[in-house]
Amino acid sequence: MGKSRTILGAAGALVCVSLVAACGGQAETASSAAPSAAAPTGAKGGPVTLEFWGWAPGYEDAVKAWNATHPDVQVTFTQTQPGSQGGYQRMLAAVKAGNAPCLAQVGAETLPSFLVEGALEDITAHAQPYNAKFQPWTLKTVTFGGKQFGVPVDSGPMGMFYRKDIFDKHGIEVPKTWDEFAAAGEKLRKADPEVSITTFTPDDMYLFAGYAQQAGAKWFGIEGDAWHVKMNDPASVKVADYWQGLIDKKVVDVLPGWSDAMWKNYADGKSATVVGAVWMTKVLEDSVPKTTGKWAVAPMPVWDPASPAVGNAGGSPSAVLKGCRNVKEAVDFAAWMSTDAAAFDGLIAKGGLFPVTVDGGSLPNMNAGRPFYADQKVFQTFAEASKNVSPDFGWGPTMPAVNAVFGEEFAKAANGKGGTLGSALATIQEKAVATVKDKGLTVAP
Amino acid sequence: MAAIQLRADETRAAPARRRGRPTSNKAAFVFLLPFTVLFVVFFLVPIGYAINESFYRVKRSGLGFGTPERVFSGLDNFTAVFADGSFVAGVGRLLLFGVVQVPIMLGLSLVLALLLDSASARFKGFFRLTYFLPYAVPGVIAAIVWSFLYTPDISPVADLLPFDLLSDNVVMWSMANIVTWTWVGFNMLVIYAALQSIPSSLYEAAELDGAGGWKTAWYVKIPLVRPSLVLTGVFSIIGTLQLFNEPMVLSRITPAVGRDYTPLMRSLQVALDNNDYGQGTAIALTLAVLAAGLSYLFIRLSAWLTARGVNR
Repeated sequence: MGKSRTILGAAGALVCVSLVAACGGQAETASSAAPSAAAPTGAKGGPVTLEFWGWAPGYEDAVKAWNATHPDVQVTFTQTQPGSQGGYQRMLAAVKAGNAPCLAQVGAETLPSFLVEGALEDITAHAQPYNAKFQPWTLKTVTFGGKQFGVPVDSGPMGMFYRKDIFDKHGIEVPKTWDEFAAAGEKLRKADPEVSITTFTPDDMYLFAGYAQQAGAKWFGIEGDAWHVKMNDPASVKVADYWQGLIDKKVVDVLPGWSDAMWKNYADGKSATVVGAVWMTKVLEDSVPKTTGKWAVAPMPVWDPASPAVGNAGGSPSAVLKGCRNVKEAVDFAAWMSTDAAAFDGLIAKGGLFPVTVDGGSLPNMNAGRPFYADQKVFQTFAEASKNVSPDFGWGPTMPAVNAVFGEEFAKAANGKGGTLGSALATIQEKAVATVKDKGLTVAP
Repeated sequence: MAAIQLRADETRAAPARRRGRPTSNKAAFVFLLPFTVLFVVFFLVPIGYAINESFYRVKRSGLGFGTPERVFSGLDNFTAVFADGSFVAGVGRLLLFGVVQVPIMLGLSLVLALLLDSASARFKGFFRLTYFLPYAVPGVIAAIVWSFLYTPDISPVADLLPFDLLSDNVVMWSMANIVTWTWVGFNMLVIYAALQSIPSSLYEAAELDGAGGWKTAWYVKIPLVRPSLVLTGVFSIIGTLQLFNEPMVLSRITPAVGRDYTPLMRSLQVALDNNDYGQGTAIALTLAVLAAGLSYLFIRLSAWLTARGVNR
């Protein structure tokens, strides 16, 4: 009896082993429902079928429009979790399982990580004919070692979304610099202790990266044959210290990014601004619909009015995942979605996406008022901002792992569980270097 | 009278098992097939795959833009498990968690089962169902609902408490509360079933010997449900080492729970965030061996206590 129980115990314990394998297999089952990406090139006359995984609102409508006009190449769109919240894991697992979709939305920040995992197809030859339509700097973000691995879709110039009614009620002027932002925050707290100027979300690395980029930080890059990793450069520390100051003075609320608690804060009018990227336009509309008409958009606060640099957060190219048999068709679709006037105009309206094509600025919806923002033509503000974005901010080969480390360390510091945001950056830098070295890659000294 | 009754019970149970004679092996195969197929496909194959995976590493160099190469690495992944501070810290956390939570949970289960089984219990069906109900709630859903109750500002109760349910020192016990809430009913049912199978003649004998309710519980019931307690104990130890749902959900709402809070979370973090399946499976396998070892120790300990005549 004793023995048989031991065996039972051992067998039960092994369940956890199969869990990891099962997790890798999750995407397998999920994708097998839809037609396989590796479907043979339209067997004699039949249409080519491509799978496309992504999460941006509006993509699905773009796919529908393409399918209606391109009977030979049919695209099946599957909505995934946002990349950093599980979407990328699912994509990488599918690549490992050998049944990945042909096309995937992969953020510019994660593209090199996918490349290092061997998850991307080289699309240089097929993409070449379309490249003249894109702003040259965006092509740089998808090109590594002279090869192109993605078709740019959008970029994420930043701005300040603010509750006009709250600022008006307390007679506080909309801040133009970060110093004014801090001062406005203190005034606001004094006027109404319930209301903060913003909700700081320490675990949202890509948002902080936008703030750091604005201040002139340069976290990652390529130096010869090695990766440049410097997440605690002086510019980043300056920004971290600034936010630590606001946290210490209790001017801002601190909550986990994208959490229910954060959205409740905004829904209840307990936080007055979101300093974020252009695509937040649509996210806010969808997340706090009851506050419609009360918001407005102003330029992102700057450090120095004399040289008003602006940050960028996000921008997701369409990538072709490893194992795709119809790379050309996949690139044709991706290029169409990014450059077709009607398609992208729809993405501006329904996705809040900001075009990166040479003539994207002239699309009708760039100049359209949005009811959520009291009919303000918010994309005009972002168009102005995009002129002041420094495109010189690269990304590293281990962003998912670095993102996890960053979120943990920053959340600890911001919640007063040891150290400051500035000192957390030093720990993050150390761990980020380790993630790169763990992959067997070279880090520049 | 009592002795005759007991004999009748014993004789009724014994031959029933022996009477069925194996008539055809084919029938047995047919009945075993569905289980065997599922067991092989969803259990043995994944484990084999995981074991194979744990002996490989992916090799890259320079910038890593070349095609990554998968190479056999022997026991390197396993050596790395023990050098991994997160894994060791996670196991430590779980040991503390288990040492406190498992006895509390099983104690509660035993008390509830004894109450239900006692002669003076009323509305047995209602209470049995009520105690068991939390087990019917899927683990992740339960964790999410509890996490709402724990989050200040959202929770109707958290603000009334003098301490933060999600702070560093408290969060583990908030988690233990969810686990206990979920599993007390299940364990109670296992113990209660064992109590039901105790022949009533023993109670009559105890009564004749002058034992009241308390003494009957202590000297008759508890020793006789000991096998069930050992079984639920083993399940709980394994369950503790596999703790995942609750910390995973709480990690989204509080920095006190890291993404490598438990060894299983660490395994997934390594496998999915770092995309290092070899290392991830090595962690999972190590954990499995650990769970088997702890379960074995627990069973030996309980057998030793029985042999020593503790509570017999």
